[in-house]
Amino acid sequence: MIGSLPPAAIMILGALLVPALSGRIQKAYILALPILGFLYFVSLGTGEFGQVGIFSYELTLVRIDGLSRIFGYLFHIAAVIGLIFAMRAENSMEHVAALVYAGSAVGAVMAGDLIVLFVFWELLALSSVFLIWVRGTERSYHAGIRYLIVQVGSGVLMLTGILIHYQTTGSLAFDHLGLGTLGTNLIFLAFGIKCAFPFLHNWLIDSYPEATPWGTVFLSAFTTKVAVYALARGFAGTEILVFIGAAMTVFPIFYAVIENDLRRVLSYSMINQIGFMVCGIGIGTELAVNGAVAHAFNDVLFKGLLLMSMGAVLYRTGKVNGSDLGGLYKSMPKTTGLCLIGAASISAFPLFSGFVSKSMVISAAIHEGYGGVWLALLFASAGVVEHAGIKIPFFAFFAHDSGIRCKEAPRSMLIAMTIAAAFCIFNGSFPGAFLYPMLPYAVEYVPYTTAHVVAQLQLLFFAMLAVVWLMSSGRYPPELRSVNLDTDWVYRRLGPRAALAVARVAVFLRTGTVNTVLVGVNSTVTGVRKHLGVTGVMGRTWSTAGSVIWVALLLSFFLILYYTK
Amino acid sequence: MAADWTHTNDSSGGQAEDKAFFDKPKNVRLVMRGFYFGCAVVVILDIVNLVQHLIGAHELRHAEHPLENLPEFYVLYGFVGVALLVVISKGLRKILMRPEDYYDR
Repeated sequence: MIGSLPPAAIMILGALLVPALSGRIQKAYILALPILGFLYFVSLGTGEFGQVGIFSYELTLVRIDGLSRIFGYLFHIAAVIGLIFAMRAENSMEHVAALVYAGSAVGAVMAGDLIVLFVFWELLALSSVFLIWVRGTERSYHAGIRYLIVQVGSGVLMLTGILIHYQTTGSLAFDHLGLGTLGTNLIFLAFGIKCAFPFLHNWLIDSYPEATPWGTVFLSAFTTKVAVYALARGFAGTEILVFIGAAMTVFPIFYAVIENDLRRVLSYSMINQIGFMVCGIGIGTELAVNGAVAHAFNDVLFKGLLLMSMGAVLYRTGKVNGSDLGGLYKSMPKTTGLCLIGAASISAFPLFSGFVSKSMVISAAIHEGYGGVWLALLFASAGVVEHAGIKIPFFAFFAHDSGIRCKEAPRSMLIAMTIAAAFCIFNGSFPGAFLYPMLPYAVEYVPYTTAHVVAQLQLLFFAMLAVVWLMSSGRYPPELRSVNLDTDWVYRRLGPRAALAVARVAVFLRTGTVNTVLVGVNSTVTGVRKHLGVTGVMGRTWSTAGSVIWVALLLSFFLILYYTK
Repeated sequence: MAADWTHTNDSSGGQAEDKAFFDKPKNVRLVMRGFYFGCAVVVILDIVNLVQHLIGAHELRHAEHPLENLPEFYVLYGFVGVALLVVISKGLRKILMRPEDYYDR
């Protein structure tokens, strides 16, 4: 029996008991679940477990190998940190949703075949939407609906792709798929939606900032990273990913400069970071895939840390717009310090985690001769310094004093942030201790060479100097209360407007058509009545004598025809 | 739930509390000087690299891309890149920015 139970089941099934408990016991139980799940997962080692026969299919619930193992570690760690951070959440439904969501992510990365992957893929969507809805605002309700439509849509595409793939190949195995057939193309598209490819990305920007302070932390950890894993498993070395990834690193940083909601800035930043991973997967060499996976690991922790610090600010002040905040370092010095560690990590300062993993991808791009992509990634790295390294901490904690005085973040939140910060520093300073041995391929990469450290410091310092110069000369764009149009405009404004216009045209056409038809019908009916009606030529009752004459005439006509032949 | 998010906006707090670290211009100047010093150091390191290259000694940097041979490449790229990024984004506001309640109307 042991071994047939997937590690994901501990969090998913265990979550169902949460509402039955209360108080400290409930809190202890919530935290115990991911820890138990983690111990069980580690005890399994590597291999395939839990073969189940359904109809004629043989499904494999669990596959732990070099690629899925590190994601298993990551998601359990992220679940523990997130749940500590979410201890203050009063609605225990949030804990239930978070546990099911984290469990689904664990289940998805360990899925042994495409069907099991699909099941957890959909469960991810269904459980996570509650983290958005539970905020309880009108905006979060609508954002949740839009989120759910996109996520379930991705699942439907994926299932269609899987079925077509099964029809053509007879295989449900989730190994390298590659583009080229309709089935795998659809699966690729489904992965791309969850991975926030350009033009498919807006569900993330739209929904994540509408969740609760802790909801956004969970959301940032799982969905997109499952998609990164799925791409690494199914489409490593697919060249188009190099360019998709490079585009993902570049376009969001422009939005991040002008966005006012600091959690939305971090959502754009997420797409930017995922871009590095997608690019690495596209390059497909051992160094590149290692870099992508290592960056996914680090990103969950430093992006989680940044979102936790903004969550703590939102929790204490009720505000998270850059235009409303400032000077909070006086009230929340510990949160400020922890946020700065996250900012240094995402900016890839030497000794912090981003430096190690991001450079693996950038180096791989150079090695494989992608010069243009290399320049794009460097530009994006400098852009990260602007929005995540400076903008986030500066506008929240420093800048002008907003006059807000609040309490420091609650202890549970500080503990969660401290654990994440410890990982950021540890993975950056001692990458060989924990991170490298976990990666799918053996690592020969040495990040700490003089040349590399100097080059990185030059890029970072002068990126920062540019911001300092723009700010001190008054050229830096101020934080303004606003929304910026993105691709969601297509379905939030253009779509409804177009539908309205189409409806108006349809009403016009319908009225026109109906009128024309009615006139036609009317004249037909009038005509029919005139000729076939009681008084019409064809409708009258004829006299017997008249009829006999007509019959006689007809017979005479036939007789003449007969004889003249 | 929102009511629980304690938020005390104490307007008299400004006078009562001690001046915080960055309220003193002296401290701001100190931090900025440290930063400018760091910038100067990384610029000088590239000059050292160039000199070593010219005299044929062991170099600090082994270039993997021809652009990296350009002295101060990363310095220039970081500065110009971010300056352009911010200026272009500021211009994009003219096209993209809408009132906060744009989608709610």
